[in-house]
Order: sequence, then structure tokens, then C-alpha cells
Amino acid sequence: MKSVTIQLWIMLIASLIIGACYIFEGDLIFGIIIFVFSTVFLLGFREFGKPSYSYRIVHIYVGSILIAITSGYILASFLFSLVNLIIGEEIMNLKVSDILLMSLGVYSSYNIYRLRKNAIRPEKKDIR
Amino acid sequence: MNRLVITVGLVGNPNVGKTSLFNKLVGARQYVANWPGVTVTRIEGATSYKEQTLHFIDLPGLYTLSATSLDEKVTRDFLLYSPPNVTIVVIDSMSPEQGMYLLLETLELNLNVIAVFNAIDEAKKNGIKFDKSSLESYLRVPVVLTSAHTGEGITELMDTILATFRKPNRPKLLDYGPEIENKVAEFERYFEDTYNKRFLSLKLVEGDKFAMELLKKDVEPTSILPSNMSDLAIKIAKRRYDYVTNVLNRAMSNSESAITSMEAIDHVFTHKYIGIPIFFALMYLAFNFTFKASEPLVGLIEVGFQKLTDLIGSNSIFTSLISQGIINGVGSVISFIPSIFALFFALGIMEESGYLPRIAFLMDRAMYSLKLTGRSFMTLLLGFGCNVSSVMAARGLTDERERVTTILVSPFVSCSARIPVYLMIIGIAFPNHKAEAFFAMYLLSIALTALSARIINKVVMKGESIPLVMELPRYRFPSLSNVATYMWNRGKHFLQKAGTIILVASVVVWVLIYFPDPTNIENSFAAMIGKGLQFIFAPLGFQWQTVSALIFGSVAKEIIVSSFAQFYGGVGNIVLDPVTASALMVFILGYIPCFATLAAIKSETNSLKYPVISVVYSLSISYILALLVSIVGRVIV
Repeated sequence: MKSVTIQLWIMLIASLIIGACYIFEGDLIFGIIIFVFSTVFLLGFREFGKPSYSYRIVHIYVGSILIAITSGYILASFLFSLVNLIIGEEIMNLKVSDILLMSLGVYSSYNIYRLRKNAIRPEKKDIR
Repeated sequence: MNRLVITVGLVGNPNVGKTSLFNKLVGARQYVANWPGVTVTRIEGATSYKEQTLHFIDLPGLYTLSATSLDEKVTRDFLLYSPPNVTIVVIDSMSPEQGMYLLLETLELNLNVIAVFNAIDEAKKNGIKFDKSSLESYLRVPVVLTSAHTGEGITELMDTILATFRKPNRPKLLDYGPEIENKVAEFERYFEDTYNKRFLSLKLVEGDKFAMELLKKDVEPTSILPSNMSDLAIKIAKRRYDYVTNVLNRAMSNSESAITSMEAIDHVFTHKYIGIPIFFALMYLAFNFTFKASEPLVGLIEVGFQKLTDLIGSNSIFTSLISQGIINGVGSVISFIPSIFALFFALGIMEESGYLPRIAFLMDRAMYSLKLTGRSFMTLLLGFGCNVSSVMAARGLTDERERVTTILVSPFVSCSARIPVYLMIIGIAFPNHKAEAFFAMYLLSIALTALSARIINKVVMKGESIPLVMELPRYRFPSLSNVATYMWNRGKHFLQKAGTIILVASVVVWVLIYFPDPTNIENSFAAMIGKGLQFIFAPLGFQWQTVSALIFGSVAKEIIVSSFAQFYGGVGNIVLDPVTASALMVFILGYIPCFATLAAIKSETNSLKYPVISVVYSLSISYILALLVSIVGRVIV
């Protein structure tokens, strides 16, 4: 239980720092998007009681999926910008916040893999 | 040897993979989505197998043969009036109860049935096992376990179709007990011999209106129906569900677990506080991706067309037609193809993963206040590809008021034809805020659709909405081939139009620009048309070029881009200030449905009244909104 709470704190603080970085670099909307995704981790703390353990894991799991999607989007945008080399234009400049987000994306992917393997089953069948 | 044609109907609940199975069986590439109600009309295809021709008919999904919506009626009528040689009932292996219920109903129709348990690969992955021989013995029909995704069981299914055709098997499965069976026997005499009397009698006991319509002319339904009819209908449903549960208890096993990925994802994505903010955040990412992924390719295509235009020149009438009319006119539209495909790639991932139907669920409360439901939202989503699709898909809505309202507001959903127009204007007037401006147009499109639904429900169609009951599809990892098919099906209209209507329109616009005075565009026929009507648009700040482009664009919106490119000798030469550009985009958002959409509205409503209402209303509302944007914009800037 303790490690789940620590995990939530790590993801929350890391995403808040990255969101703030985007805002300081002038990318207001992208910063807000990261903040929206960080609320997934924040709301994980509001899961109280005995079943809360599972649902806190759920917040780490889904929040990590969202962070992984966002960092994947940055990576895809960068890769597509390489086409600019053909027409002699500049490629996308990766900012500090982009690098941080992609690093958190890698960590989030590890989280998804780990939780899927140990805590969350792919699907459940329920016979009425 | 004589080659037989065997007709095979594919029936099943919505979103169980009928169309995927159909594609696998006939090698077609029909559009498949991860949400219910995509197939609203029957789709046919044929293939050869072991020297026989199998003619497959993919029918719209339904939960029960007591059909209520137009698409469900298509399936019921087909099974009743032109039964296929073999009927395949497709059942979702992950959630087979409702599919098996439909199977029991289908057997009442005395059809030659095969039960197909589809998505068996997913079931296996999740620890669900079926005992096929037990299923066959309890259901008394051939059972095939398939996966349209991996192709498992497809050959066995083909063989089973041939075997079932050669040895028909029409079991009478359920006995509903003396009370109901006596009633059914009594009702059978009220129907003509040409009908399936047992099926219609059962439906009559269930209170089905369609069965009442088929009674003999001298029979009055109210005089024969028992007072405890609703109790009998419940007993019939309970008998079927009890049977299904008993069969599954004996023929299916599964491993339970504490929490599933679907529960986990839905816990957050449908959260009452953060569900909608997450949706908007993901949509913004999708729109931003559209620009970032496509911009380099758009640049590459533009450079290519520019070099071609320079190479040909425009010294003679012929070279002018080729370079300005065709290459500049059509090329200016074609250069936006990467953006269109990038947008549909992003939306395809969202839809294919099963996320978008959750938005219908989240939006249901907001839609209900507009006297619509989440069902309409899903129908309207199709309009992002082409408005004609959403108008047609409204057939799946059971409530007539909701159906007509959805049809009338469909043109306000920003279709793919409007994308190049927005991209062109945004590139000129908002070069540093492209994604934000593009996203704002889509938000405005949703707002205008909502406002229009409210107005139409107040003025034209009065009534209350039926609450939404919707089965949410499973989440799944989007397969590249399905996303590519989605992207292609949504974007291909654009390519088709580029080679047909846009090409013809570009040549017509070139003629109107070139004549009567090739040396001065201000004296052209196009200028005369624009200047003649400019007074109407003067409050919006539109030049004659804009007015002419809007008139030509009423045929198809992409022609606006083509016209602008020809008026100014290229998209790069156009000058638009942000206020006029905003007013222009708002006007284009709704000013008039294209001809194809108007034709679809007429055919789907069977009335000329609604296309006329659509044109008058859309012109009025878009003019008022554009005027507001223009006035407010000029006060602020």
C-alpha cells in the first residue's frame, strides 16, 4: 500500500513539474493538458477504504497510459518533422520539457507493463 | 457440375464483429468500428468455396427481433420475408448472453442456423473456454468458434455453411410452458398461412406492434390480446435467459480476477469530474498531431506543385488552363491531403480503441438537455468524415423526433471537405496558433450543432428524449490495419472528389476568371458575380473574391480553396486579416450543406421540407454568427 502511495506521489510531482515547464516555456495549452492528466494521479489519493488499494493502482495505471500517449505524440511529431530536411526547412526543436516528458513516458510505459502483469487483468467475464 | 449460389445472412447484436467476419469471409474491406450501429443497411458480397458460390449478406445489428429502429427492421424483414439458405448468428464470446438470446429468437423463425462464437482469441486470452460439443448438444445447431481478427475458424465456418446447406437443421428448441404455448397455438389462426405463424404468434404475445399489423384484416388486436400480456412477455424473456444461463453454466468456464483493465480505464475515463477534461485534452492532442505530423508533407507537396506550375507557365490559353486551372486549382486542395489523413488517423485510434463510445456516455447528460441522447452524439461523430454518413446513420435512432433532429443538425459537424478550407485560412491568418484555431473551429462546430438541436427541438420537432441505454464496447489495442481502413474510408471521398467534382469546378472557375478579359481579373465573369453580390457580405468584410469562392463552394466546400488559389495565383498570395478570417471560417462552418448532403436529407426524410429548412436555417444562423464575430472582433482588435 505504501509503495502505491509513493508511486502516486512520484507520478503526480513529475507531471506537475513537466506541466509547469511547458507553461514557463510559453506552451500554455500543452501545460494545461499535462495538468489535466496529473489530476488523474491527484484523484488517486481520494480513493479511501479497503477497495481503495486497487483503485489507487487504477489511477497510476490510467494516468501512466495518458502520459505515455502524450510523450508518444511528442516523439511522433519529432519524427515527422525529419521530413523537413528534404525541403531544406528546420526540424522540430526538442525543448527541456519535451525531453522530461519523454523520460516520464518511458517510466510510464514500464509502469503500464508492470501493473498489467501483476495487478490488473486484461479482461474479466461475468456470468449473469 | 452446376454451381449453386448459397445465400448466407449474418445476424447478431451490434458490435460483435459481423462486418469483420464478413470482410474475412468475402475478402472485402467494409468499414468496421468499435461501437454499435455502424452497419445501418445490408451489405452484400460473394466468394467461391469448393466450387460453390457463397453470397453473404451482412445485416444491421439488433438485440431482439422485436425491431424498433429502421436498421433493425431491415434485418427482421429480411429474415422474415426473404430468409437466406443459411443464417449465421454471430455471438460475442466475451459476452455471449444477449447473442444467444437472439439465437433462440432466430430459431423461432424456423431458419437454417449456425451459431458462431466470435472473438474467440480474446476469450482464450482472458481464460474463457467453451465446450463446443456441449454448446452444439444444448443449442442443437452447428457451433463454430471463430476470430475475425486472427482468421481462426474461418475455413471450418465455410465447411459448416456447405454442410448445413446440404443437411438443413431447423430445431424447435424452447417450450415456453402450457400457458404461453396455448396462447401461441390460439393466436396462430389469426395469421395468414404465408407467414411464419409460430414466430408471429410469439411476437404477438410479447406485444410486438409489427405482429399486430400482420393480423388478418377482420381481427382486432385489442379483442384478442390478454390482459396479462406484459406478464407473459416477461415470462418469455425469462425462459430464454434461463435457458441461455443454463447452457453457459454447462458449456463455458472462466477465470475471475479482482480488477480488469476495462474497469480500470473506465473508472478514470468516465469519471464525473475529469472524464470530459481528459476527452478535450486528448482531442487537442489529436488536432495538434494533425498539424505537426502533416505540415512537412504539406510543404513538400506545395513545393512540388509550385515547381510544376512555374515549369509550365501561363503564356497561352492552354498553358494557363493547365498551370492555373488544373495544377494550381486542384493542387491547392490536394496539398492538404496529409492533414486530412493525419486527423483521421488520430480519430481512428480513438474510435478503434473503444474510447469514443465512452464520450457518448459522458455527453449523454448534456445531450439530454438538448432533447437528444448519446446515441445522436455517436451518429454525429460520423459527420466528421462526411455529413452524408451521419445523415444516413441516423436510421439507427429509434425515436423519430431524435432521428430528424440529428439529420437536420448533421451539416454543422465539420466534415472533411471543410478541413482544407480551415487549414488554408488558418495558415494565412493564424500562422502561430494553427492547432488552437483549428481546435476552436471544431469546438464551435459542436456548439453550433448543440444550439441548432435546441432550436429545432423548440420550433420544429417537439417532444422528450428516450433515455440512453447503450452497451459500451470493450477497449482494445487499435490494430494498424483497422485504423488504416478507417482513415482510408473517411479520407477517400476527398481523393475521389479531387479527381472529379473539384477538377471540373476548377476548370469552370478558370473559365470564369480567364474570360472575357485574360489580362485583368477585375473584369472577369467571376469578379462580376462576386461584385454583384458583395453588398450582402459587406458587413462581414468579405471581398468579391471571397463572395465568388463561397458561391462556387456551395457545390462542395473544397472548391473554396481551389477558387481562392486561382483568384490570387496561389494560396501563398492570399491576404486575410484575423477578424475577417474568423468571420469567414464561422460562415463556412454552416453556411449551406453541400448538394450530396441535401440529397441525403431529402431521401432520408422523404420530404422536400427538411432540405429547404436546412438551407434557410444554416444560411441565416451562419450569417448572424459571422456578423457577430466580425463586430466583436473589430471592437477588440
